Amino acid sequence: MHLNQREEQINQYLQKNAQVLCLDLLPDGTVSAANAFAEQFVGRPLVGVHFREFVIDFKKIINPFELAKNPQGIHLVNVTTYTGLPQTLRCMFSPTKEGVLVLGGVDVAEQEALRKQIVGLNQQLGNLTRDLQKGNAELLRLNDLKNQFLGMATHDLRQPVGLIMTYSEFLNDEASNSLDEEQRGFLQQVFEASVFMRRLIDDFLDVAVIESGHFELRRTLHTLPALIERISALAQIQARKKKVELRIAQARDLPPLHIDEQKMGQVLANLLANAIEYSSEGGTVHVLTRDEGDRVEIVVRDAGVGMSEEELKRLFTPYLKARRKKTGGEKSTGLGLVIARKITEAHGGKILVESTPGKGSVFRVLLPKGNPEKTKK
Amino acid sequence: MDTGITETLYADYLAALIRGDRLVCADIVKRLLDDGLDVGVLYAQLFQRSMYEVGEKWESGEIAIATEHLATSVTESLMPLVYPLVFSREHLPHTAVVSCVSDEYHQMGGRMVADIFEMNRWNGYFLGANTALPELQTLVDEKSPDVVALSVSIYSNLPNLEKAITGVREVRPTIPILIGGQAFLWGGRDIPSRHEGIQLLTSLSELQRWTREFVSET
Repeated sequence: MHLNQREEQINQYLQKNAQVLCLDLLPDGTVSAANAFAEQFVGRPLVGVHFREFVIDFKKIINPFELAKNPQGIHLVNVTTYTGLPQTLRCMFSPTKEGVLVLGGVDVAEQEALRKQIVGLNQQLGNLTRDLQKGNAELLRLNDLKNQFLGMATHDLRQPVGLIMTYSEFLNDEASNSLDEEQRGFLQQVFEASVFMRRLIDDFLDVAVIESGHFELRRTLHTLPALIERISALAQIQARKKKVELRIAQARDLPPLHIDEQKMGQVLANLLANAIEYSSEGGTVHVLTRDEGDRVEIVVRDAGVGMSEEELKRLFTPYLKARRKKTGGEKSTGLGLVIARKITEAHGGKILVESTPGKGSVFRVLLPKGNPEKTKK
Repeated sequence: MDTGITETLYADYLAALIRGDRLVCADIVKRLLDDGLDVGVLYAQLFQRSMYEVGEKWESGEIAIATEHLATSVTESLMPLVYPLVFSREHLPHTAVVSCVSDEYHQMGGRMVADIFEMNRWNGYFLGANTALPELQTLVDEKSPDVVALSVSIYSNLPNLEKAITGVREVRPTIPILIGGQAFLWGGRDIPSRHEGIQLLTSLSELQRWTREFVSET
């Protein structure tokens, strides 16, 4: 093969395949000639286009004619490519009769390093996803085990605690004459502690059942006002002890709802107990019911200690007790509101809370009208 | 055996994989899983088969390396679709630590092996690509596994496999070690004869069999 033929072949190959951008610039910076790769790389025809239209040079400091004074120098130039993303080229600027010749190529080593990084990061992401899903499955298994244990332990504890509660109450009522004041005090403490333990056990059992997914509602048609009256009457005892006034204002003609009466009673009892416990002596707790179109709303409002943003976030998390103190130093399991929310959600409703520290809290229970189980089918 | 992976479905999957069309591939995998396809079959007859074919296409110059990398990324991103099925099962009291040797950047085979252990209700821990020997030794020491599995894809990494075998044995002198990977297509089949308690497995189904036999013998 002749030397000229060889050079011609190399040139032909380079013209067609070399990933080198080749531009001729006129003195005003307009492109007078561009190779196929340059137009493919930028993604548009370039002849007649000013170089600043595709070269990224916000500070307007690139002057091809100045750079061409040092034709051996390599300069990094950022170009907007056909993908819309910028790419850095290693460019050489050489003077020509008509202007400047620009030759630019991609830094292959940099590209390879980036590719390796991307592949590695992708693999890491995959492995982290795997670890995360494996960890999640393990946590779910542990949570199930915890619930099983809680269920068994509390079930076995419930009966003996019930006996302590019943007999200490009985002794207090029946044998108080034969006991001195200190002994009666001890007995009262035993009774109160057993009542608290029983509540704790019941709450643990409720949470265990809810979290195990075996929570079932026994829905029947019920009128809400009657339920609220009944639960409020029970809460009155607690309210009177704390000298808190309980005010009830119910909407007329509320339709009967498909609810589990016992469970919704538990929701109301928990919300009322909570409102009374955080109210100060002489305070008022309001209970309202409203017809809200396709839903019925129950509002429990207190003017008690209120909650901060942080406390609101933790409010419905099991086993995370609120930091705020109850005004009468009452003991609680911290599970009442968690249970209330789960029961309400199982009814297709929701509980919304607003609170201001020092001013009190408003709990709104929204329950759908109609039978959600029928709608599901 | 009718697995639901017909040749037409496989061809559609492979074409989508080479295009880098993750959504089409994910749709096919989800449909197969919804139809009750065994995850072991999915791994062997869809993921592994397609990636072997992609590798062959690359070796014969039909596709560029970027396409091969894209297909690998798509496949790795599909593997989590089976995790809810395999991780939530009740596990046996058996543990496997799976790793690629140092300088081995092809991790998919190793990850599949770790997942196969999970599918067989083992705890399969996976350390990933290019795992330094001390890191492997630490995990082996920490987890006290029943078995260690080492994956090598590139032939030139076989000396690192032997170093890894020696390193694992420093921590657990008698632990069974499984080895495997594409590197053994080109050599290294004599490695088990040079070390005690080493077994070369050449397919995912061999691994499935091995895990079952191990469980029945213990």
